[in-house]
Amino acid sequence: MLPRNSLVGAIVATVGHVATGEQHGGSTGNHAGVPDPRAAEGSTGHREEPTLELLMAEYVDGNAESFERLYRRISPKLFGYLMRLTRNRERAEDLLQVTFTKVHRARASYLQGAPLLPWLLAIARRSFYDERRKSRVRQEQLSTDGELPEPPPEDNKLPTDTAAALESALDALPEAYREAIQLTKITGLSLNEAADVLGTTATAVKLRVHRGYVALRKNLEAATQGGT
Amino acid sequence: MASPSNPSELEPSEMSEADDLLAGLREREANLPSTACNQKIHSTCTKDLQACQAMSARHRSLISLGILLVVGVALLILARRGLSGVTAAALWGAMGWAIVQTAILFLGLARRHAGSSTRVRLGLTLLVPLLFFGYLTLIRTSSPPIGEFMAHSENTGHALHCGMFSFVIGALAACGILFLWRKTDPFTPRLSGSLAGLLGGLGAATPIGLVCPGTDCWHLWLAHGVSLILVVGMGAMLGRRWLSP
Repeated sequence: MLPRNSLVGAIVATVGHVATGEQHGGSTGNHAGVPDPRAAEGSTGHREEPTLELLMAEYVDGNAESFERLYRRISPKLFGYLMRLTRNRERAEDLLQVTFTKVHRARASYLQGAPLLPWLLAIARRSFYDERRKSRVRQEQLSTDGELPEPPPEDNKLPTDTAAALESALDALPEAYREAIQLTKITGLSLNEAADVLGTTATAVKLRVHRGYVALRKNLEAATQGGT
Repeated sequence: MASPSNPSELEPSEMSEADDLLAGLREREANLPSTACNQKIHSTCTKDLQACQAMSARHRSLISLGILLVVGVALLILARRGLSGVTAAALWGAMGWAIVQTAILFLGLARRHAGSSTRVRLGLTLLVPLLFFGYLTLIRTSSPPIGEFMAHSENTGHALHCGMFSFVIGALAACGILFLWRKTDPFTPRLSGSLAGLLGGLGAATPIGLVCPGTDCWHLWLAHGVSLILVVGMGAMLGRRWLSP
């Protein structure tokens, strides 16, 4: 049973903060794209880490060790983002490989000093949409025996806890809202950085997050009513 | 039970619950890709790793300006016989457009990662061609009806020749700029591509406009204006492929 009132209320409360541009994901990222240390290297280390941009510059200079460090810090965020986009571990891993291959090939074109995390997320996002466009074309083709291919089995598992309910409600959101919430609230980008990744304005991102919260509230209410 | 509609009625603990819930999702996403995936990526990205000659945005901008300068000077040298009729007003106009091109280059491409918002860049892409059409309208010497203009084959032939020439030279300049900025913009490659097209198109249209004898409005709009729009469109199409990593 979901703690409906408090959960829905909390989502509603957050809308007020979003409208004023306040960042809930502030603990996980900043304008320089430094990721959450909790996600990357555990909660114990407090020593000064070089910025992602510096590690990238060293990687461009041919330092493999810098790539290792960069990868260790960046891959959880990128993989998490791709997992939410694809909702499939294998596809997310494939796309992570595609993304890093593109990064490797384009490393000389990275404009030094530019925020790295939005740059990487934008490449990952484009890779996802390119791959999805191709797979849609493939899915529309008939199989060799003239039958339509079997649709993939749907995951009908009912949410068992609050986080799973939220996850499920988030997955049910329209893509534009889901992406805006994902980037600002879960990946931890600022509104401007998220706007860069999505190719839109910060105001539009703020609006999408706001509308996403409203839709999320409806989804959660529906889930609660369905569960009772 | 009705859900609370006013956030201010919520307890502080409830206010922070959404943060905690989303932070919980963040923790759930902290799972790493498989070892096999990591190994593949590492071998791809570190095998025979060598230093790359990375070019800064300023460096690329200066070379882009060089491309535009070379195109402009080459066109003027090629058409040196026509320069005798160039008025001082036309020269001031050309200088004005050179300043506009520099502004597009720095605001639209070079400062892409240093504060130039998508809105500013989109504004440049839409506003500058409109301004150029306004400029062409201002410098026209006559406005014959379209039927009268089209009735004379030498008019249409000259407009077609001038337009094709503007388009080809503008496209070449735009391709040079696109190549120079290749793989630099995964965010809005089409928009950056159209800005590169705008630069190339203006880089060709301005010097050609200086030496072109056609001054009636239909010639200016169809030959010089439309060719600029075509180069912008071409830049947008190529930008998607060339500017995205």
